Amino acid sequence: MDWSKTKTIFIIVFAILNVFLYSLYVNRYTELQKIEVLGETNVEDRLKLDGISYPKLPEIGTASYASGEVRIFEDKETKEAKGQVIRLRDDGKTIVSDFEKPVSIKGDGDKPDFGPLLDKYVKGGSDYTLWKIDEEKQEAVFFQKIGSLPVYFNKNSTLTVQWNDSMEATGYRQRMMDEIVPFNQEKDLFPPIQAINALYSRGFLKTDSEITKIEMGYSPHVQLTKTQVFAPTWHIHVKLKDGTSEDYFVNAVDGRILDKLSEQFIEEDG
Amino acid sequence: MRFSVLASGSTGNSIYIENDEHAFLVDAGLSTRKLEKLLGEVDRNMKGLDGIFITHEHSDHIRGLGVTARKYGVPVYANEKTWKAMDGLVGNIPAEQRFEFDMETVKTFGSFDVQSFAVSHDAADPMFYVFHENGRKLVLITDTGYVSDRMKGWIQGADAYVFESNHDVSMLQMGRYPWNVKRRILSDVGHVSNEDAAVAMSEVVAEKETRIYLSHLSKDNNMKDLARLSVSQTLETCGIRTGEFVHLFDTDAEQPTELVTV
Repeated sequence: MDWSKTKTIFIIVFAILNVFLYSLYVNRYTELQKIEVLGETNVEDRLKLDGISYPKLPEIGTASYASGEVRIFEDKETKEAKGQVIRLRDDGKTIVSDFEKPVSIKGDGDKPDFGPLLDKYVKGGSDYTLWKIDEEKQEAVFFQKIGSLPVYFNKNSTLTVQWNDSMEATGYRQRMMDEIVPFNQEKDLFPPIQAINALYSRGFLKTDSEITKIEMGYSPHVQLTKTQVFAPTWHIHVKLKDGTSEDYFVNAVDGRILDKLSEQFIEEDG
Repeated sequence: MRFSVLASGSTGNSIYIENDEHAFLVDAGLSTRKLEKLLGEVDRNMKGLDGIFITHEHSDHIRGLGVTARKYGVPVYANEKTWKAMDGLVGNIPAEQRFEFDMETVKTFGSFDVQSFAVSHDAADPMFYVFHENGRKLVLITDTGYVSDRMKGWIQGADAYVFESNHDVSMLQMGRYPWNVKRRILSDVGHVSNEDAAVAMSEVVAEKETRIYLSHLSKDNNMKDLARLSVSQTLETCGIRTGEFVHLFDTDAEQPTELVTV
């Protein structure tokens, strides 16, 4: 036996084997890198898998909390108001108004137009933005704005307008915040995609739904003796597969889902 | 006497107090480097320190103690139980720099009288300090779950307070902290809320110019503006209008307050 040749053959065979084993190892490693752990799939992909779409997301920036005080309306203000009979309720916090003559709110087509009514008859009317129209109750709900941002579901800054079958406003009920001051400290905002993710992870977003709107506003945060504090809030409007829609609110600083916001509003109102 | 709240909050606490003869820190809850920087921002330095008074052994009050004491040879004052509790937390502080400062006693440093008093906090034997000089009085009281009548006795009628205003109760309750942490903070050995602090303040301030520094604010459960609003409105319901003789000031976790004379 030629030991020298045998040795060479062994060396070559083991060298080939080593190369083969190394290539196996490299392939395995590469495949493992490609596997995505379920929990690590990114939010966008998970939403896509469940058929949940969303529009272009707002820029992430900073915002500050804000505070304000409930306006106490005075009798003389009610006397100045024209074309309406005003009663003050809740120690002057609430205006209840009846128009002497119903005021037309007819807009283009079937849609009501509240602009002229707010400008002419409602104190600080331009500071309110329309939230919801309830055709059945013939009632529109407006939320007061801080700057350009609405304060969602705050009993103390809401305006409700009622109308009749002829699309004429018959009266309104109003509360208003005064002395609105932003806090000095700007806070980094919770990214909107994370707000969507928070809702998705908690099972609020249904499959095949479409997020049609994500926008910034404020929500009641803390009630002090005289002052209310408002937190920057993401409002996420979702259109469901069956055509109905839902609204969600997420604290835009700490990412907390404000799932009781509208319920509290209704309870308080009751 | 002059003082500056160098840093206040759960990331680290330290207060600088001086007169023409002596200079002290109360707590050294930040790294030595940070303390040097903060002192520099009020035009002071570590070399002038005559002592560090320790309130309790929580890390946000002693984080930089060991290194600072060794590097600058500064005497350290704490009560016996706090010294024991700090064993192993601050490294070796030479025996000649270790001094006991018993609860409810007074130590005199020239014209400074430093009075210690007990607070209610979940530490070995927590205590805070009142500095007296020429009839002027500076009270430091943070890290207490409530302000007892006994504490009120010690802190009555000061010219300046560094007063805890830790959290807004509803923010804490709504917030992300685990329940056991919330319970601890709200307990008698936790921290005082904005409202509770204000009620206590209303019972101890005298009718004279008084500076109140709202301190040890929770990063998650409070905000400077909220604390100020809440304290001023609660004070007002107790019959004290801020701005008349009581003046509220913010403190910060990273910025020293202006060095002011009391």
